[in-house]
Amino acid sequence: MSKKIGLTYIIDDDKIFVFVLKKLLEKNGSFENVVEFNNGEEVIQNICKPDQQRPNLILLDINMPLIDGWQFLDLLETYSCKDKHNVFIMTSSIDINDIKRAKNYTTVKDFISKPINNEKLVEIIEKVKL
Amino acid sequence: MIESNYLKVLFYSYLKNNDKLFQSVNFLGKKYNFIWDYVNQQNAWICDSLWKKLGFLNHESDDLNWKNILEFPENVKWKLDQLSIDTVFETLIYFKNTEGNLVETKVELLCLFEEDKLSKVIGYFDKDDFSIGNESTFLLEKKDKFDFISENISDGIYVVENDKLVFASSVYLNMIGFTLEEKLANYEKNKFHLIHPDDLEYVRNSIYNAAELKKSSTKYTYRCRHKDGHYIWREDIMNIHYNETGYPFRAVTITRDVTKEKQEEIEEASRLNQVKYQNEILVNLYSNVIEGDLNKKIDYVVELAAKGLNIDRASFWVLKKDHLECESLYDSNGFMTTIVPNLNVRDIPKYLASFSNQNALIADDVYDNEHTSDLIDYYLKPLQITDLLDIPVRENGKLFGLLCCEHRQDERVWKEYEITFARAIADYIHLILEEDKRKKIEIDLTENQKMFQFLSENTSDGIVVFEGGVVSYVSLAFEKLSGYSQEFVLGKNADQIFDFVHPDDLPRLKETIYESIEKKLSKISYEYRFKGTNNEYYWREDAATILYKDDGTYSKYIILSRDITNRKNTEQELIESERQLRLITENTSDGVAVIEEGKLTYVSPSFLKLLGYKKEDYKVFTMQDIFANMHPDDVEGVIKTVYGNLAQQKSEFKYEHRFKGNDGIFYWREDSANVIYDKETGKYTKYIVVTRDISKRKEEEKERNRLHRITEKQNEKLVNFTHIVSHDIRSHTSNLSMILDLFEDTTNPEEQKEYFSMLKQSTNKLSDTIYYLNETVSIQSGIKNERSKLNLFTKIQNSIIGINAIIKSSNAKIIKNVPKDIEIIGTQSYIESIVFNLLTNAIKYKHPDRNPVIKIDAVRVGEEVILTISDNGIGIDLSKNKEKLFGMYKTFHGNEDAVGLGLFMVKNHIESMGGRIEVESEVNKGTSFKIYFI
Repeated sequence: MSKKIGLTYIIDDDKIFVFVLKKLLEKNGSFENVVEFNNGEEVIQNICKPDQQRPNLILLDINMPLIDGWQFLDLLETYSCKDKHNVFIMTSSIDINDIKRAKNYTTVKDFISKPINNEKLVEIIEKVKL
Repeated sequence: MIESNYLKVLFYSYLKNNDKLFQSVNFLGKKYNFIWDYVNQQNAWICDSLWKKLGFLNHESDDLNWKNILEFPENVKWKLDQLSIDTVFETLIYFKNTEGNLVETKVELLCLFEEDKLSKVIGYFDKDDFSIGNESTFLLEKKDKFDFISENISDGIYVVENDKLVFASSVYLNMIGFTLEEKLANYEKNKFHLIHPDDLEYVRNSIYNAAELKKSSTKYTYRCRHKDGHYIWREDIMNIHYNETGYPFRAVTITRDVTKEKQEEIEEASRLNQVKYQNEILVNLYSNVIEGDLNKKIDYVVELAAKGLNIDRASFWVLKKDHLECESLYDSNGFMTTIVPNLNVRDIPKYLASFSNQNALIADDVYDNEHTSDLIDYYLKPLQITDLLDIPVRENGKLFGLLCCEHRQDERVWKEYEITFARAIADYIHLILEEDKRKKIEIDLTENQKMFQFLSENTSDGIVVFEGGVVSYVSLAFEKLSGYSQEFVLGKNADQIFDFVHPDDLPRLKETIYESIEKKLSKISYEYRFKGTNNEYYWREDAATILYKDDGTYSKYIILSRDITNRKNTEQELIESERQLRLITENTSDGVAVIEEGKLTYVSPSFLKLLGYKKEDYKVFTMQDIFANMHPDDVEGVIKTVYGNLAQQKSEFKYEHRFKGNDGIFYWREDSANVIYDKETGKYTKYIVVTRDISKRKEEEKERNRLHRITEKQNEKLVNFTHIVSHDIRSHTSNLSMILDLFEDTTNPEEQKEYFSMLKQSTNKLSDTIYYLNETVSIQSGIKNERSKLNLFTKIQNSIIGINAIIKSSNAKIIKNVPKDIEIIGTQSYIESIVFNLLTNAIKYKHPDRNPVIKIDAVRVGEEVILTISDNGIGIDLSKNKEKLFGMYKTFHGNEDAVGLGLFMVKNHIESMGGRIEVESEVNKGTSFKIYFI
């Protein structure tokens, strides 16, 4: 377990989930810096700015107010920096339509169903392209 | 001479020493020899017999230029050049005879070598090797033979060589009447001087084209002027001979006098032409109606007689009491207007007598004919008439008139076909006289007119005339029509004719005819089936005109017969189909109506039953009335369909529409149209519509669609609900399981405490979710849906009181504009919940820069009540959120206390009461919800 994820964004409006997820990331030890957002709006506005540090990993929920996960991905598609991002969808949805839809985005590296545990985190770390 | 002599010597020495040569010349008779010095190629020797053979009888010495008569073809020379040792080979070489003609011969060449070089060439052959197939070889021994033949055959022969006449046989000269000297002199001037100017080009073309194409012979027939000026017909066969360069240097022509044959041919052709022309005239006459009165008709026919016979004069005379009077005259010299004196009967007894026992007076020479002798002084001489053909026209057996055909100057022999034609013309005159008489008798002029029209329009009508109980006349058209020849029909009596009538029609036909005759009807018509030559029956319509004698028996029974098989078949089909149609229309529950010229001309009993109108009502319906009674929503579509199809001349199409019944209610109907069009104008003539009441079907269709829509909506809701349930419950349970994992992993009491608090929060949220879901299910399944009449104003007032505290704390201003009398049907708790949710939302999402102002309006529009609640809050970006606005757990502003259930519940409440909700919003300006209550 030598691979370290420098900057991780959690975009989710479920406060309890975010709290629990942060605990798990902390316990895993590979995630050096974790920043949380309760919707995608702020992230999408700043993500491609040159002066902004680029997150190595984005953990994205789908059902959110303002800009939900899909809208976030649609906007990200239009950005020139999109290929540099590792987005993992984390949702309680197990709807097959959502999984299919997620595959349309090249930025999305995997579709992870909640609940999350350490094994799933290990998988994510493996799939992240640094 | 010396040179040639040395070759002669050489030849004989070779002859002695060479066995093969010796054998060939002495034993095989190849005594025509020559020797050629190949080294000194200008030297050659040719033996005497060869000189003679070529016609040089008296060649005096050997130094005659041999090259003029002997020619080695190029291929032979080439062959010689290739030789390397003594050789004998056979080849063809050419000699030129005294006439300058090339003679081909097969020769054996003995090629001799000296010091490895070709030195001499000896040729030898016998006379049989000369090519004698070419008759042009004017070798002396053949000349006599040619002369003998050319003078003893009946055909003339003449020969032209290099454009000079070199020979002309006496038969030829006799033919044209010239002596050889005269002919030669004329030929010098113009070789085509005897050819008729009209044939000149044709003859020249024949000859020059043949020469151009290197044809060996050509044949042409033309008129040739005899010395004494008259033309004879000649048929020439010209054999053309070409020299080696292809130049036609000689023509041997065999000529024959074909004047007699040609004249016969011309005569036959002109006869055929005339017969054809005459037939045309007759066919025309009998198949058409001539306009005008009787005199004009006779004038016309008389003129046709003259033209058909190609004669100068034709006239029609009528026998009056004591004289013959000229009724009509045609004269090619323009004597038409000349008044022709009457001929006194007493002056011409022989002439008139001639008609008592014959059907024509045929006089090839009027001055040498007993019957015409009476006329000479009075008539023939003054008019210079030489030939005469007069045909009597009789009525009731008595002489009535005469058709006189006359010719001047030129003697002519009346041909059988001309006599037949003249008779036919006379018959026709008879017919028009009869016609005229009948016309006069007939009172009903209009009927007559119709019949003539009928006649003129139908040139195929056959004419048959009965006279004295038998068929006396059959027109060509009838022959064509029936397939029976005129000869076959002529002379048949009524009973024989009746044999051809279909047995089913015969009794009726006989009855009609005999009754009509008994009643002396002059005009009848009837239909019957007549057996054709193929034994099948054909429908026929006869229009008969009957002329009666004074004693009451008929004198003439004139039938105009036409084939009406097609009409009859169509009629039969029509009857059949009409019968079927009636059967169907009267027995089907579908209504049938027929529209003709924009009017309903037929409506079936079931059609009447359909909408409750009376037959009389329909009869006065115009197209406008029909369209006016259609449902306004359907009429445009129907008009489009109907006129669109009519424009394309479609014969069958269908459409559905609602039509107002007599009771004022619209009924759904399906119309199947069947249209018949006028082939010429393209307009419809019959519009048959089969109509069916489909109200029930339409009702069912409507209900089915409604149920289908409801089911679809409910399915959609169910799927949504399942997703919501799975998602929302899962999100809580996954949180719970994750917290429990963490709880288990730690022993730190502080951390455990923290997790426990999280567990509590999560569990609460789960039970909230389950509560709301239960609430939703209750609303949708209508468990709490107890509807009653509610006053909207009161309900709104109650809701405002319920949230007074919030209103006050947020400084909200509420502007209410709700009439107090509006009542709605609904569920009390739902309406309170709707108003509560919308008002709290308006306050919750107030604009940070201003105090909330909420307007509540209500208005009744038709059957609906519209409640509008608008605020001046932060607004919702509908372009992003419209889809999910009324979904479960959707919050749009990231507000702490937004639970995402309010609008979902509002929508559910309204819809469960049968209403709907609409939203308008602008970010930073405010939101407006419109709720429609039924």
